[in-house]
Amino acid sequence: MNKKPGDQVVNLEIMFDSIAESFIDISDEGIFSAIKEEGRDVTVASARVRDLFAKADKKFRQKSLEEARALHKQHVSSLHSRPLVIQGSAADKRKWLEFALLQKPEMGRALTLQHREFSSVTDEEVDSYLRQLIELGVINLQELKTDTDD
Amino acid sequence: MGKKIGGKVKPAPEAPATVEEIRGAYVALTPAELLKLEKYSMWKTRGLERMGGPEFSADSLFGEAMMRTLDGSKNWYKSKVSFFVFFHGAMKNIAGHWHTHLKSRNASFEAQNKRLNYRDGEPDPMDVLPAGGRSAEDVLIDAEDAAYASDFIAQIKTKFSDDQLALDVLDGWSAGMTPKEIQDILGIQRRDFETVQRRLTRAIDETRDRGGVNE
Repeated sequence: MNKKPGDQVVNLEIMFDSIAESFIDISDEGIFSAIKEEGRDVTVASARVRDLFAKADKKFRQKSLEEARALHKQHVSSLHSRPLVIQGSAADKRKWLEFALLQKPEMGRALTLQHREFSSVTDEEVDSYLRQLIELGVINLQELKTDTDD
Repeated sequence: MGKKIGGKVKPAPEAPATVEEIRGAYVALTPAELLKLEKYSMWKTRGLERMGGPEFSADSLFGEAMMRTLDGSKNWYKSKVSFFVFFHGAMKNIAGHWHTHLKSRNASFEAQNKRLNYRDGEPDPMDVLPAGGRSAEDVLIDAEDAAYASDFIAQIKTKFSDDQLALDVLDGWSAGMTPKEIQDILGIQRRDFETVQRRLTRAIDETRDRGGVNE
């Protein structure tokens, strides 16, 4: 029976596969001889292979770093897009803001210039000022709470 | 800590090697192991690169296997196999996937080409195939592969026509036999087999380097 033309392609593929496997089973002396017979230096040739591992490792480190950066960026952006909710009564919030403004008199002056009296600032405005100052990193709510509890 | 089942303590499943352990393992590969893996990747991708291009090269196979090992999509269990054996398996598995992918990709392009040819008056497939796909010319190259393979094997056999042992080893490889099976059937020692192996692979390399066939 005549072989189909495609059979020869398969034969060649099987042959190359078998040769590949033979190089896994070959003795250490056998592989060194093969490399030398190709006119290559064993030390240089093996260093090239080790370098392939190192290159892949470097690529992996860079990929991991990029993924971590992207995750951090995503986290930061989600923090910014999420409205900050300050837990506490209106009286507490007013107390915290008043205390913060005492600590930062320049901000207090700006606020009283706008409203003349701190007492005329509404509860909503107190909440809004507090949120802005926290988001800007000017004040730390936890520290404020601790300080005003004393 | 293992679970106690029926009075016996079942050992906890082994965790895959960590990235640091993998790094330690590749650094510790011996020169012989490194070179065996190199040779393996070179022979394993022979034909793949021809079918799919440079992204299916031996070095790409190495890189892909290592990336997948490090990112945890291929797990190495230290107590089961050495890193050398594991990495050989990882490359074998990936090359197998590449082979299946390239074969099905080529088959799909051929089917598309046949459909286009079937309809009279339709534009030439060369003009119609999408830019990202393979051209009809590529498909013709595939058809030439059969002739190439046939001539290639014939040329190697002619080269070793007066060396029966080499021809027998070549037949063993073509039948997918392992080195041990070939040695047992031919009744030869490992050393003799390896000598023939080196002679044959060098000749195949030279044939390929000179352009393969019809010279």
